[in-house]
Amino acid sequence: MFSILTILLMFYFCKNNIITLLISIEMLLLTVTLKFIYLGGYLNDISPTMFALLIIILAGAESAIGLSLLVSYYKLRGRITHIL
Amino acid sequence: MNDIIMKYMCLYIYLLFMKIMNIMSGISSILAMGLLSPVQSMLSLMILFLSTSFCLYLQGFELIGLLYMLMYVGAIAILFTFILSLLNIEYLPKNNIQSTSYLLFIFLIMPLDLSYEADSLIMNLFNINNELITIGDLLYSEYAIIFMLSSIILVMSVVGAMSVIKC
Repeated sequence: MFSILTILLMFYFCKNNIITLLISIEMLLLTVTLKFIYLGGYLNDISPTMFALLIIILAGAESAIGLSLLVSYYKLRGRITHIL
Repeated sequence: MNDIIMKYMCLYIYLLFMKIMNIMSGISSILAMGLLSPVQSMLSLMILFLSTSFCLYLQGFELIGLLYMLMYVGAIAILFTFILSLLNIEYLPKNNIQSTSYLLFIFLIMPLDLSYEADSLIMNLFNINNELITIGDLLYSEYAIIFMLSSIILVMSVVGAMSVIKC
């Protein structure tokens, strides 16, 4: 929760930039997965590790789609900063 | 006696290394967000991934640590760097964050959020022996449908990326 709020606030304060947005989404997924894994180690459970694997796969797919959107946006507008 | 001293020295160095990795991940997560140019923020993102995977490896989650290094540094960061070299962006570092909000960022939980539960090594050391065997069993028995669905998601993402760039 704190990580979600902090990353949204950071993205609001920075000048809006699609690469920064993608990087912040990656860091958000990383933080949430790290919480899952630590909780799994604390409870001696294996299912958060499986969850972490699935989240890694989803993060890869998400970054591929996001970067292709970035390239097509750049071809359309000619810039990627100051999107709002 | 000498053995015990050596053991405590090793434990101390281990904990110190883990603390350093935690602090490094927090600092690089702040640096990756906004205050540098895109190339430098990519570099700090790689440092963040590396330090996180070192932390996970040291705390006993060995398979997940190695997978993080493989996936994030080997695939996603290289993808980001390739896209950065493809586009034509200004590469000069600008001050993207107002300087009054540094203090807010530093105190807003992001370093603490990544360095959660730092000293839990002893608790986790006894169940790491057959993590890979357990995960392989579960992937082929209980999570088989989810495994196939994730592979379909990967294929669809590749096809979607190509179709988005094409038109």
